This record gives sequence, C-alpha cells and structure tokens, in this order.
Amino acid sequence: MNTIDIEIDIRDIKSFVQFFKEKYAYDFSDYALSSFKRRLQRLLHINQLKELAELQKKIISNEIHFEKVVEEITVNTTEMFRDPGFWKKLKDTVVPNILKEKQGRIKIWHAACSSGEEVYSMAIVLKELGVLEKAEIIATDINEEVMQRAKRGIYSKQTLQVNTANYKSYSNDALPDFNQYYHENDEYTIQLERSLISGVKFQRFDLVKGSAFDSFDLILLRNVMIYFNFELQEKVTELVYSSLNNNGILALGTKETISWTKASENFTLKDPEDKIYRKNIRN
Amino acid sequence: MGINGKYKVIVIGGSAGSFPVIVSILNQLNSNFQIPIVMCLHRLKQFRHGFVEALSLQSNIKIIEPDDKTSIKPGCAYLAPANYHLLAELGYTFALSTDEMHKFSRPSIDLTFETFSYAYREKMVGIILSGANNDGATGLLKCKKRGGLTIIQNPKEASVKTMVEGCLNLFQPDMVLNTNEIIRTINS
Ligand SMILES: C[S@@+](CC[C@H](N)C(=O)[O-])C[C@H]1O[C@@H](n2cnc3c(N)ncnc32)[C@H](O)[C@@H]1O
Repeated sequence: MNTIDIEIDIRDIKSFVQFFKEKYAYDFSDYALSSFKRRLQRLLHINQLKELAELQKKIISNEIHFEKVVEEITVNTTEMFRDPGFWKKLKDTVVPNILKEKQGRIKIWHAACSSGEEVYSMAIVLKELGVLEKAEIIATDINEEVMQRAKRGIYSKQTLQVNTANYKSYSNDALPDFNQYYHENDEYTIQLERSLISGVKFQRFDLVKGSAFDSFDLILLRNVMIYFNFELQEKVTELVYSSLNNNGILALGTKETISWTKASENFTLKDPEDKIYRKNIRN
Repeated sequence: MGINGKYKVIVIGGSAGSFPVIVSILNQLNSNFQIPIVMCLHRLKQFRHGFVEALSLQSNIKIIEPDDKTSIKPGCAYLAPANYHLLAELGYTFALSTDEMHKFSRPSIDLTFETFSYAYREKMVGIILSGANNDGATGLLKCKKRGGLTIIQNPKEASVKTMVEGCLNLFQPDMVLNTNEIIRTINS
C-alpha cells in the first residue's frame, strides 16, 4: 500500500494532536496541515496501522514511544551547504559585515539544526574565514535524537555525493576538496572533523513553546517555518525578532518568507533570493 | 461547457520529454487565461536557476516559483521549486516541504496531485505528460476519485511513455490527448 492511499480525516488529526498535547509536552496544533497529514500517513504506514486511534493506543501502552513519534512527525532532511549560493553569500558578505560592525565574539543560533549538517557548514565557513574561534554557536532543535547525531558527526557515505557537490558549488571549485573535512569511519560512514564543532553548544529547544533566551548577531531558521501555519510563523518571527541584536541577521530557507507577518515591519529584506533579513535598529 | 468556469486549477506533472510539451502549452494559452496552472516537473536540483526563465521566454502568462504560503492566483503558472515538494493547503495556498523523496523524486508529482485534489476536489484538472518513471499515476487516480478531470498525453505522442502508461495501468483517465488537443481543451 502506498502512503498516500491512507485516508485520514481532519477531525481525527485534531483529536490526535489534542491527545498528544495534553499527555506530552508537545503541541502540533499549529503545524501546516498538508505536510503534517503526510507525516501521519507515513507514521501509520511504517507501523502498519489503519487509523490514528490505533496509533494513540500504542503510544499510551508505550509500544510506540512518544519521542519516536515526535521524531517521525517532524521532517529532518538536511544537507551540508544546502543552497550553496546562500553559503557563499554568508562567507563573502554576511559574516564579514557582522565582523566589521562588531568587536569581540559573534553569536550565532541555529534554531532548527536537525542532524547538524548546517552547523558543520557554518563552522567550515567560519574556519575558512579564520574566525571560528571568535564565534559562539548555539544549535537547537525540538528533537534530542537528531542532535545526538549532530554531536557524533558520523554520516552515511550515501550523503557524500550531494554534500561534496554542494561544497564544490559553494566554493566555486576554488578550494581544496570537501574531503579535507572528514575521514572514513568504516565501510559505510564518514566522520566529520569534530574539532569543527567542539565549541558548539547543543540544546533542546521547542520553537512552539520557547521564549527568547539570549541575543544573537545571526540566526539560521531554515526549512522549519514551512511546517508551521500562519499563526505559528507569526509567533516564531516575534521570537527571533526578540532574539536578535540590532542589525542582527535572520536567514530563512530560500523558499520561506516572513513578508506577511506583522513582525516583518521590523526587518529589512537584504537578499530576496536567499531570504536574508536584517533586523532594523530600534528607535 | 469548457474548462473555464468549471475548474479552479490545472495541475500538470511531467518528467523526461515533457519540457517541449509544457513550452507549447504555455506559449499557446489564451492571453486572458484565468485558471492557475501548477507544474510539477522532475528536474535536477543543480538547475536551480534558468528553468523559470526558459519556460518564460514566450509564455503568455507569468511563471513563478512560489514561496511557502503564497496564495494560488488566477493568471499565473507556478513551477515546483527544485528540491521541495509542492503541496496545496485547504485555503488555496501553497505549502512546501523537504520531506523524503517519493518514488525517487522531490518534487513528487503524486504528492502535488494528492494534496491539490484534496484541496480542490472536483475543481481540479490533472494532466500527466511524458516521463520516465512511475510518479504521478497514483496522484492522478486520486484526482479522478475526488471528481476532478483527468487527462494524459497520448502515449503514441509522448517521447517517454512510462509515466502515462503507469496511469493507464491503474485506470482509464477521462481523456487521452495529443499536445494540440490538450491546448485546445484547456483553452476552451
Ligand atoms: C527540514 S529540517 C531543517 C534542517 C536545517 N535547518 C536545514 O535547513 O537543512 C527541520 C528541523 O526542524 C525541527 N523542528 C520541527 N519542529 C520544531 C520546533 N517546534 N522547534 C524546534 N525545531 C523544530 C525538526 O526536528 C527538524 O530537525
């Protein structure tokens, strides 16, 4: 059976979300319906279940652990140097501009870091600029398990093709190959240079429930807002607004936008193609 | 009665061999064409630039790669961005997702068709063109089951038949047409 053949009623989705919210500390009420429904179809499919009520029973009886459900409900796909052009801009203009304005350390927040590819990419950019030691990086995600993967830095060899191609395109072939940053771990996996992220602080953080905990010069909030509905996007935009220093930079995924949120008035879109925003100076 | 007035969206899926067909369609639309067109075409994700431009050269309507949550408007043709699934939400807005590939594809035609037929029901026209894999057939069947109009490119004309034959193996679509007939039908 194909996942898309599993029919799920919206009312059932609502009551499942309600159950999950009351029983566990996760609130998916404001996730965008279309992709959320697909995640649920997939969950049912891999557990060979027909409806959400069955899933609910299995979660209550602990046959399926709720953290596992969270992991499956959220989309964790990521790449090193995803959208190479964006990373090139980061290296050529964004980070150098921040460094010009700022004495001392620069503070960076990866607000949905998934399995860490984005964090390693950032560390590589900073290292190539010779400023890795000047940066203070915090990487967060709703999902503990993916962050464990980030800390280990071990990735399947299957990811190499895409990651190497992205790196090549980011560096315009001008730099040595991507393979300078990893070595073989075993037959199937590689180990990324862990020293790259030795200074990174990983921390669980839920964008739905969390509030500002620090202020940053650069926030990467990439490919997570697409899973949120308008209301939640509004709320999260406010959260990042209050987490940015004046002139701080917000980078979204290349197909994401905050242009319809109220909080967007307080940002200037510096790069429409790669969705790089700058927080306006408060008067 | 023709397509205009009866339907609110036309969703087109294609892969290998569909590019010239898409170009012909876009270039020969009535100048006041009012139904939004949504195109989910497989392509290499390295080709991030240039695809919209190539399709736009002589198109009669504006071609856009939508951002997440953009509303779906008449008079525009939308192209699924590389490396994202292109989905519809109930309020006729786009939603994007980076979740797993489906049938080795992202964007996946099945997923676009499934979510559009869910949001538009009998107001959708689904068209599958030439292509080298099996993505799209299940989605087109969804469109049929939800009351939409289903069209495939004639396998005799399609330069790669796998995708349209995949549809025929599942069910009999409402219309099997050559490119010219597809154009005439959606302009009607
Ligand atoms: C598609 S990945 C994006 C990874 C990376 N930023 C990129 O662009 O490649 C989305 C990530 O968002 C996380 N996520 C989903 N909901 C979240 C929430 N409420 N709070 C924090 N992270 C969340 C998921 O666990 C997942 O790791």
